[in-house]
Amino acid sequence: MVCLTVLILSFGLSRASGNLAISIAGADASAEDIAKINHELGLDRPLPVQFVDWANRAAHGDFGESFLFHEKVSSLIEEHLPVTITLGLIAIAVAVVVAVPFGILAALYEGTYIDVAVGVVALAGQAIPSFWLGLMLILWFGVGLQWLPIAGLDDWTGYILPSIVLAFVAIPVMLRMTRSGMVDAMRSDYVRTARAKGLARISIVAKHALRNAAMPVVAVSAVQLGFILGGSVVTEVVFNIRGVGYLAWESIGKGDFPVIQAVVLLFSIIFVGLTLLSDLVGAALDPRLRGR
Amino acid sequence: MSATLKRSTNATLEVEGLRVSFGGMEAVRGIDLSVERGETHCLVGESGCGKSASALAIMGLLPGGARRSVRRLGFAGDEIGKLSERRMARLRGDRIGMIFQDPMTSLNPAYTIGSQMTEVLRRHRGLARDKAAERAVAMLDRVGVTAPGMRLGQFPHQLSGGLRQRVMIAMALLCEPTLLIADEPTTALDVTVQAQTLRLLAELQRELGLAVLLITHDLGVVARVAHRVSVMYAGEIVEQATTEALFAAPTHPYTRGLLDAIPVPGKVRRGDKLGSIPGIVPRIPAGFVGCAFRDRCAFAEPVCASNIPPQFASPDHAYRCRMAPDWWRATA
Amino acid sequence: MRTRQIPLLVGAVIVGVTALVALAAPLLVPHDPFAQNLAQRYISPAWMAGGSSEHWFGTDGLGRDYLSRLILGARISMLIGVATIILSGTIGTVLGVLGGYFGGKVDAFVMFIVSCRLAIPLILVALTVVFMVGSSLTVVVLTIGLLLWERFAVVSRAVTRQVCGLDYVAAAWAAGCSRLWIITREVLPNIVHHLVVIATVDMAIAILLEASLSFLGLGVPPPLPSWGLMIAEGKDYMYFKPWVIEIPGIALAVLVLGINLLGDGLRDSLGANTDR
Ligand SMILES: Nc1ncnc2c1ncn2[C@@H]1O[C@H](COP(=O)(O)OP(=O)(O)OP(=O)(O)O)[C@@H](O)[C@H]1O
Ligand code: SF4
Ligand SMILES: [Mg+2]
Repeated sequence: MVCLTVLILSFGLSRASGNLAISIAGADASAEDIAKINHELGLDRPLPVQFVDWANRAAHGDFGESFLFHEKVSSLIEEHLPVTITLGLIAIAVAVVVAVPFGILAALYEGTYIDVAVGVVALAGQAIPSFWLGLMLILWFGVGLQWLPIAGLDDWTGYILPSIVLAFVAIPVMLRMTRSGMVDAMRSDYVRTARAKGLARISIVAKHALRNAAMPVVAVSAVQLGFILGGSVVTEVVFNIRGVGYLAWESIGKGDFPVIQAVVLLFSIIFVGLTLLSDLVGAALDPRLRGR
Repeated sequence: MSATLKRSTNATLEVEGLRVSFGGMEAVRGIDLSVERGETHCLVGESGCGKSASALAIMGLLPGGARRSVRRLGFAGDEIGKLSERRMARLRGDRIGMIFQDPMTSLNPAYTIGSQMTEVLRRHRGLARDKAAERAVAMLDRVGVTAPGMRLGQFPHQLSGGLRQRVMIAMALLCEPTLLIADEPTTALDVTVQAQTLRLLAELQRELGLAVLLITHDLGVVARVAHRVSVMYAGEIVEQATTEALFAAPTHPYTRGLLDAIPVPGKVRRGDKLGSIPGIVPRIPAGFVGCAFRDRCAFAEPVCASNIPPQFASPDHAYRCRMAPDWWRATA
Repeated sequence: MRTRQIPLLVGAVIVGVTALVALAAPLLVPHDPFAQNLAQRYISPAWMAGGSSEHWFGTDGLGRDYLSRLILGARISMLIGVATIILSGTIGTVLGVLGGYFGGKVDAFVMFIVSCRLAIPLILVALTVVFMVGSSLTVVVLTIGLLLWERFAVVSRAVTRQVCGLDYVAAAWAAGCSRLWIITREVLPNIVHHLVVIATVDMAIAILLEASLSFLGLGVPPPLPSWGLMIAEGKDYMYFKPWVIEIPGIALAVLVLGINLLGDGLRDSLGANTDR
């Protein structure tokens, strides 16, 4: 249902401006040229017809041909998607690895300077624009220290900086969730019971509190992955990485609508899928929801 | 000295001068009490008078922000007031068990009953998983849980409130403790389940020779199961006696208020809530002097604002009020 | 108590000062922010070698005074932030209150468009819209405002449902008060403090989003000095003069941090629970 609406939206979005052919043929193109291009692209047919036609083919994975690259959109995406997905997965892993331990730390030292420091760092992380962070990292690690490549993904070192930048999108949210979940858990009756049973501190924290605090965090990481992918365009442009985000940016700048439509739709579907996944993971982890 | 009695020194639990404060407010203001083997000592009082704070302080389980001080905290002949958290943890769940008020939230929703029970035995007895499971099943059976083997695989949310409280009891008794502290163990349960649970506790106590510190605000429970009673008000024990003595001659005006001033013993029925006394338990700041009950007491005099020493109605019956031991006989 | 209010204070000061600078920008700029001087390109800031007190923050690639552009940029950021939350706040609150108040099909519809909105990749769609309509300050405000209302909707819906369940609202209902009366007199006063907190969150996001769009070349059009655009313009020169991107980047981060601190502090002191 949501997908269908997004389908209509992404179609409507890219057809909203009527002078598509002009942007392809150039502003000084003759009327005949424009009519010719319009006809070639099927743009002279009524909109609903165009839509049904496009949606039907989209459902079969056929998004038509790129105006610019003169290549099938589906193969363009196939070519660019793996990089974006790989970066996204690395980034979410980095985010979990950073956010969860620091969230736990802040919760265990609730109200102390450690807690305040972690909170301020999280807020600052939220405040730093990711494109600027990317540029600064390039300056420090790529140019200053010369440890890491400043662009591209020629070997694994190329993945480091972009995934850090992408992870920054998710870290503050996940950190706060871990912290507040952990604080609640440590105050809960069941943790008091665990202490009354004389369990060692490590098993109170790691078994009893963490499990309950981590359930929503793990579930939400799927949604965060969706946001990370949605934000990939900025990072890919900064690091000059040929992923789907970069492809979309290039296409937008040149009015290559079949590609834009396809990418917007793709991201939407991925997001909806990840939201669903998040619910499923949440249900699978929580015994109270399992088997319902 | 509060209104309490010096007793033999071989008691299972001996508490002297226990204080708990939250910020500038004193929740427990120097209480003394002791519980002997095979004895049930009831701590009664209105909500907020410091019962839970006392119990948690004895267990070393106070929440962050609470401060405890205690002159003597004896357990089975040892002083445990100065033990490190690690040493204290070794006692908890092993030689001292505790049951809480709300069985719905006191079990971890994410783990099975089996996991939560066996971890106690694995921790304190070093038992292997299967041996621990055997013991857990036996204990569940003992506390009257039907189909105990199946329960091990279930999660807390799959059990009723009464069953969960039985699981909590079984869990607290797994290592055969010498002292059991139960903080309002039946308050959250249905009336019929309450009765069953109390009967079970009484039975287990007799059978295992447990010392039980039972917190309640149900005078019916006190009348039925307690050997000794401490009445608590605003962080102090205002009257302490054997159950018979207390019900026969309640002497502190607060106790009399709780009993609705019924002069004839045995008239308190099960399920009777504490009698309603106008006013609320005041919060007591540090450095407070005098009787804390004075703004609710019908007999308050200016002298009540000064320090009130404890008095004895009988060798086994102490109270803390300016009034003579038999004052109430005149008004009855 | 005092120490807990320090972040709120810091945030309030940052936002307050930026707002003042934004308002008084024309009076504060030491030079014309648009005046080019190709003979004076990339002059370093005053504290660096080669800098002069003539241009405190140096000059950009077209010889324009960087401090003046930064000051005018504050105005753009604040304008974007305030204008978009007014737009998105109105849309979101209306939708949320309607959904929360009427429930049933209305509510289902509201939740449906909220989930549609969430599924849309924000930056891509904003870029596309700005590309098609043509970039201008108004277009950026409208685009971001029309895209960023979901938080307002979700929170005002939740709070409205909660408020409508309260006894005195039911009493007002039973007493025959009109819907409009109940919504304006009972519901809105109860949600304003939540809305204020959301407004700070969304203002921060809007400012960052505008910067990203401008950075990608489809936001505020040159020669307007949006901070994001200043970073984009300085990008090619950053290897030689890192301060061209450092200065606007820090300005952006400090402002957004200030807004977030303010929002966090307000959340605590207004008791609005808007987590998640
Ligand atoms: N975590 C805490 N922080 C601050 N004050 C507390 C805290 N816990 C308890 N108190 C205060 O300590 C006093 C005693 O509380 P306690 O929980 O011991 O009462 P109680 O007798 O167990 O009451 P109830 O019958 O409601 O369980 C109360 O005045 C309460 O306000
Ligand atoms: S000491 Fe005074 S105020 Fe306190 S209970 Fe006795 S008579 Fe009442
Ligand atoms: Mg209590």
